[in-house]
Amino acid sequence: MQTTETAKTEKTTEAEEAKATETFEQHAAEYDAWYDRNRPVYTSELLALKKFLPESLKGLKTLEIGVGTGRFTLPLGIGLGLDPARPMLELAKKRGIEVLLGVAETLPFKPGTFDLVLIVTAIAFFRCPPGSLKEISRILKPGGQVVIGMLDRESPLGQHYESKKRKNGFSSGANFLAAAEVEAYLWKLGFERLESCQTLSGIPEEMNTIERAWPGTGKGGFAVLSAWKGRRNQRIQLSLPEVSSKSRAFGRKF
Amino acid sequence: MEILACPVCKGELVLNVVEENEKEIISGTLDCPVCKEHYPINEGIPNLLPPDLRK
Repeated sequence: MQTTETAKTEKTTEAEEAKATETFEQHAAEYDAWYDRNRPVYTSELLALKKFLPESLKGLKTLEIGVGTGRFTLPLGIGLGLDPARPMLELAKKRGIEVLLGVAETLPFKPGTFDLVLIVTAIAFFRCPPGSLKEISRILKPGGQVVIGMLDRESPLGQHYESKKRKNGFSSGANFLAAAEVEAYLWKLGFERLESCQTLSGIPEEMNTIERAWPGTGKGGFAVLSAWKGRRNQRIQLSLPEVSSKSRAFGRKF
Repeated sequence: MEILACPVCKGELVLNVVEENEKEIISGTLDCPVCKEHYPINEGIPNLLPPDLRK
């Protein structure tokens, strides 16, 4: 059952990903302005992400994948951003963030480079989330941390967006994942000390106050996962039954 | 530069500067000698998309 679902997802995601990049390229400014109009949402998400981030990132090598316009990058103190949409990167660069064009599936970094990798909402636009997480594990230092902020498909808000997704908008090219699904990928890849929290219990556009994050996933629209790469590289021998054959071949290259 | 690798083979890249200022490299290429690929740098942004995704 799971294999069939993965195969189906893979067929559609390539077209969806191309569409997503196109959408982001056309609407970089519009995307960016959404955060100004929905300040309590933005602040609640930032606070949830901060729950798992080190107090100071000084001296740490940090990367945000799917940096977009850099909305989360600067307030969280991340040094470098990667994204496939150039107009978004141009905005991020104007904010003073060092940026480069690239995708999560084939990261252009040497192994063991980063102390921390951050992904905010971007995982829904990855062509192959498990393959990308494996790439992230590769570029993390032993003992490095990955923090993932995402719309949780299993939450009421996730269900709401999932049903609206066929209409135009930023979510039209998205493949929303359940936070629990991503946790399972992380666990299978051998990540350790998995932790999660959630925020946004209501409809974002109707939020007037900042919401404090609470533990777990499944209820809050925005989930944050944190996991650490083990200090020994013993894990990658684990089999990955949910990953498609294409992704497995992809993984073997490294 | 020291952290970058070819997105395809993960090998070392060779920097080829066309234009630079005191802050950054404005244009040039990052070359992978193994894949024989040239990854462009335009207006200060390196393009390390894999060749099949590059426009």
